[in-house]
Amino acid sequence: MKRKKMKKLAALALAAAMICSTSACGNDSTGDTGQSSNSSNTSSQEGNAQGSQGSQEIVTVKWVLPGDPQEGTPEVLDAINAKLAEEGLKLDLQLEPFGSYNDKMNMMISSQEEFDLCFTTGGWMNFYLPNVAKGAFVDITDMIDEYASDLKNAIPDFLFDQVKVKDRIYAVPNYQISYTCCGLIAQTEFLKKYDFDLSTVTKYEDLEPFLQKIVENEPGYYPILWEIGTLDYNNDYILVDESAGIRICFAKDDPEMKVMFQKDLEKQLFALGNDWWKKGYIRSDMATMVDDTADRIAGKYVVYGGAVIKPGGEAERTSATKDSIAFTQVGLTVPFVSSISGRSSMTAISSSSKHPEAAMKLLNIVNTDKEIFNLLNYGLEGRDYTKNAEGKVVKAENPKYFISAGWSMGNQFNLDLLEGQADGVWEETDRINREADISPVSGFSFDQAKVSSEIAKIAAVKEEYKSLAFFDNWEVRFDEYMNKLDAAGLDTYLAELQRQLDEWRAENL
Amino acid sequence: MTEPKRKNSPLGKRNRENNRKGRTGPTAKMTDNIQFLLLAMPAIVLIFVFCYLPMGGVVLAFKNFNVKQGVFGSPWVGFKNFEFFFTSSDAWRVLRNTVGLNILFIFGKLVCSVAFAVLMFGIRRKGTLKFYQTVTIIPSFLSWVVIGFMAYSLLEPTRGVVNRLIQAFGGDPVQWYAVPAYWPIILLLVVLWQGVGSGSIFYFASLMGIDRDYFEAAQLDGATRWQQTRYITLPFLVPLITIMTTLDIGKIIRSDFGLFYNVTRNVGALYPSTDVIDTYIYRALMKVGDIGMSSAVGLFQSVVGFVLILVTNLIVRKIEPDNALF
Repeated sequence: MKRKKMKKLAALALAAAMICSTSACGNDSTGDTGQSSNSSNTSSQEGNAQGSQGSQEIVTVKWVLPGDPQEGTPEVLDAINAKLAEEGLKLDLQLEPFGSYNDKMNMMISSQEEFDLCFTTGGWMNFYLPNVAKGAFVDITDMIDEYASDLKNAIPDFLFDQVKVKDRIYAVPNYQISYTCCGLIAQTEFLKKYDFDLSTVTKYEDLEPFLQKIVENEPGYYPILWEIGTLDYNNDYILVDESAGIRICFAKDDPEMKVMFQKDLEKQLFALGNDWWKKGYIRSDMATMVDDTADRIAGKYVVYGGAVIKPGGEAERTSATKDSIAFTQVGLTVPFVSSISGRSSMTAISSSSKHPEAAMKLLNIVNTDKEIFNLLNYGLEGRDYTKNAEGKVVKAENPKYFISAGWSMGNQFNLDLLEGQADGVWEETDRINREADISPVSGFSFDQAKVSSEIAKIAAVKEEYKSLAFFDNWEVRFDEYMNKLDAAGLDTYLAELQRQLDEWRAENL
Repeated sequence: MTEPKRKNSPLGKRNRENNRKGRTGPTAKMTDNIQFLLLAMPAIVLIFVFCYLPMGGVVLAFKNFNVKQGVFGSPWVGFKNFEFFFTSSDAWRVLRNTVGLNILFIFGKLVCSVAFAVLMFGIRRKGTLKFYQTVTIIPSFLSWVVIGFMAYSLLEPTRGVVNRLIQAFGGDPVQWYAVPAYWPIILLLVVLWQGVGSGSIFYFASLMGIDRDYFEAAQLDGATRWQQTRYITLPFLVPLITIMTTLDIGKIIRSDFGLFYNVTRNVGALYPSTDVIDTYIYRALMKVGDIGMSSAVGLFQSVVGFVLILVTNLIVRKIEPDNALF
């Protein structure tokens, strides 16, 4: 009798254990954000506690940003929140690695998880237009005037025009470089060693002698990192849309603004890419390479092709390498503000936010308060960075918090300069921003709704052939690529884009 | 969970005892089976949460989803979400690859799992048996990302093990990641390596239930090893084989995203033979992020899978009613 009972008990215990263990697994898998989610839990509890104690209610604003989770986040947030408390605000930062940020945001938005602020872009990750169409972002047109007038004054007006969708604003542009200048960034050491003057380069072919020397003499290095699609900036054409991943533009001197996809240019670029790949200038496993972060940090690439050229850009690259490698840069195109440059980096308020006004206030502070912005980017002075004699930021050897990506958070020009950045770079960038030519279609925004299935199909084709250049039989497959683009509905997409552009032109020009 | 009705099962016996004591009805059965119910609970809860609850989301396939209005408030758009997939020039290619590769996998896994189980059944020494089983089952605990990198270390064009071997024997290195024709076989090998160990467990468990007397009798009659397998072992496995295959056929239009995305490293040049529905949808909708369109394809996959299960079961029932699922 007793034995039977024991058995029963054992079975029950086993069953209970199994249930517990499965729920524990569940916890583990949802906790893949690790530290950040843990710290966010505790910090929001603290926030509540403080809110009930103090006379003024403190509102916690949760901000999701791309970036590797940082060990020293809690201390940095404490320092920031000490300053924010007087405004009745508290910041809770969640960092998601760049590789998973897009998927994570898709999930958080679709499931209407509660958060207040997030990073969004026009064509890179957490896409702006589809999210606006889905109703994921709050219309902040009126809130900006009410809660963020300082912010509005600090940023050129054309940027706000560019983020408008049907005349409403759904995100605050992060003020950084607005013009595009495309070019090359190379490791200074190798330029000196092979006595090559980067400023003599006016087109990509001019670089070949230098790359050849690297191939011959520097095993272990990749002569150039070339991401096709980032190279095809062209002075004679104006970019209108890239919602399907391919660049649609029209000729600068065309009064009719006839939109097109430049097949010939695409072919030239693939031809050059293939030639360089065969010569060994481009890493041989380019087509199968999935993640090269480690190679970038180790400085394995001698030249970055198709890079964005901006004042202080070299120093930014240097701080991103492990051994602080020095870089030299050269611009190959005329600085130009495209019609969607305002959308290259923005911060939006989620429609799942319970207190959008507080989020807007926080954005205003982050964009105008230099101290808070520097804390957010560089962490704590002494622990994460030190300042050198010139007053410039020097990254600590093993920082516990060092993001240094002002462009993803707000007004980059409020950042203290990094070691190696020349005095006045921000002022210089701000000046070029306001002086550069602005696209004639600035403010035009394409509504994808009618051709969303064409765009999805084109995007799939583009993805399929993106590393086409790094195969032997690329020419045959290039024709296949073009045919498939047509079959996917390229013409329908272009026609709809043209129709909307013509309409916009009739109204605005 | 239906309760086993077999005469000799301990449960049946206990129920009869209960009946004698005058405790009857569903509650009595419930309390009596509470341990079993508890054991099954986690699985039931998971199935409910991940398979039944989301079914309501099927309506998304017919809607223009809007976060603010929510799943049920968003406007209806009829079959517009289905247009994208079915008008795509790649639809035929991905359907062919999905179904074709799945048939290959189902057949390959079946043959190898059964063969492996039969081989294991022939091993008499317990230690040896456990060793083989452990070694073959370990790969099924690895994630596809890890397996993808393992395959890459073998097949990498310049430093990969396979190409080095080929070169060592004087051959020319093969650009594995550039030729789609190799990939059905490579993927099959990967799937077998990963799945045969765990797949054979079911069959092995079933074999353990065979009465040894059959084999002794056969041996006395002078049956060879092969004849014993052919006329005793395999017939015993037929019901299980039928059930497993029917279930697999229901999944024939789905594909393991992890396998096709990681092991092929998502190389465009391989798509002619490796692009399946799930990878295509991922690629197309990554930019647009349209839930309606992806739900439409998901619904299509589910409906086809459901119909296929029904049809297969119907056929099985026509041939051998005892082996049918329902």
